[in-house]
Amino acid sequence: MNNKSAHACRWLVSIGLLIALSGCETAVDPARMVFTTQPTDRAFPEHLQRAVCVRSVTGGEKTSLSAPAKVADEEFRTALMSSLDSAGLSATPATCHDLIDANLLGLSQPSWGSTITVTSHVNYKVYDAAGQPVLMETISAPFTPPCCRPGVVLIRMGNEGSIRSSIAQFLEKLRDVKLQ
Amino acid sequence: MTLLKFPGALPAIVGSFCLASCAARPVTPVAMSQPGDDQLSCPALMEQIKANQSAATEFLRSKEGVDQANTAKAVTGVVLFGPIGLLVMNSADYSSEEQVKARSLEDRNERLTFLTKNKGCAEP
Repeated sequence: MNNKSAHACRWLVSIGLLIALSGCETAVDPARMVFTTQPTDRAFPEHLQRAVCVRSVTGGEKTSLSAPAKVADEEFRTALMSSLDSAGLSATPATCHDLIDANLLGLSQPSWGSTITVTSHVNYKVYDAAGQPVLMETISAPFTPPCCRPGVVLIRMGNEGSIRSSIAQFLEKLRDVKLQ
Repeated sequence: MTLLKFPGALPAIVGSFCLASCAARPVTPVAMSQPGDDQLSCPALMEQIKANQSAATEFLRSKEGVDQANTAKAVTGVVLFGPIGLLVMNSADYSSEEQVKARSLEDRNERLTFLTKNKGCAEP
């Protein structure tokens, strides 16, 4: 290898490392953000069962090259709907009684590193059929993935774990919703 | 062994793990629903809505500055490369503090506006 190509190769390796370690370009997997309700978990109020629909999910951002990985609206919506399905709360559009609007306020992420904590901040708004608010909850959910993986993987795992934890906390709040 | 041939690569890896335990700045959004909301009078509600609007606008303005600084740091980090480049990139702020606070204030105002309607307050 001559000097020029060695120099070019060095540049490429370093730039590749910088991008990889900064956690860029790694989209989350909605399946890993799903919170699965266990049969042994506390039951949900009867009036919510098979009666809930996700009306809107906002605030998400697609992952881009210039910043750490993000969570897009569609990815969050898919995870939220699957979690509601797992909890037995999802209704068909024709049978929706309660509507959920979720606003992803943002993800607090470190620049990059081998031990990181990602915190998602989400506003969950649940309205009944008459448009009256049933639950208005602001949830901040931190998640620290297990250490010693490349930054690119940690940021993705942090995002996924944080959203999963946020959905879990939201479902917990739904368990305490009383019929108005 | 191949890494030893690339002086820029090894410090980059070592540097990244040395700086590894950096955590994001703690961010606390403004809660949409707060204790005592139902007891607020119309003037108090209006006052809060107005103050929240101003604060949200200010946070959005700050966010633009943070975004620009982050982009500049990312580009500079890549150009400088090696440990110094990583240090520059690591100084970027991805806490989303301004965005989280601005959006949470907007949602808070949605809640307060709903209360003003329920109480029959006059339009601001």
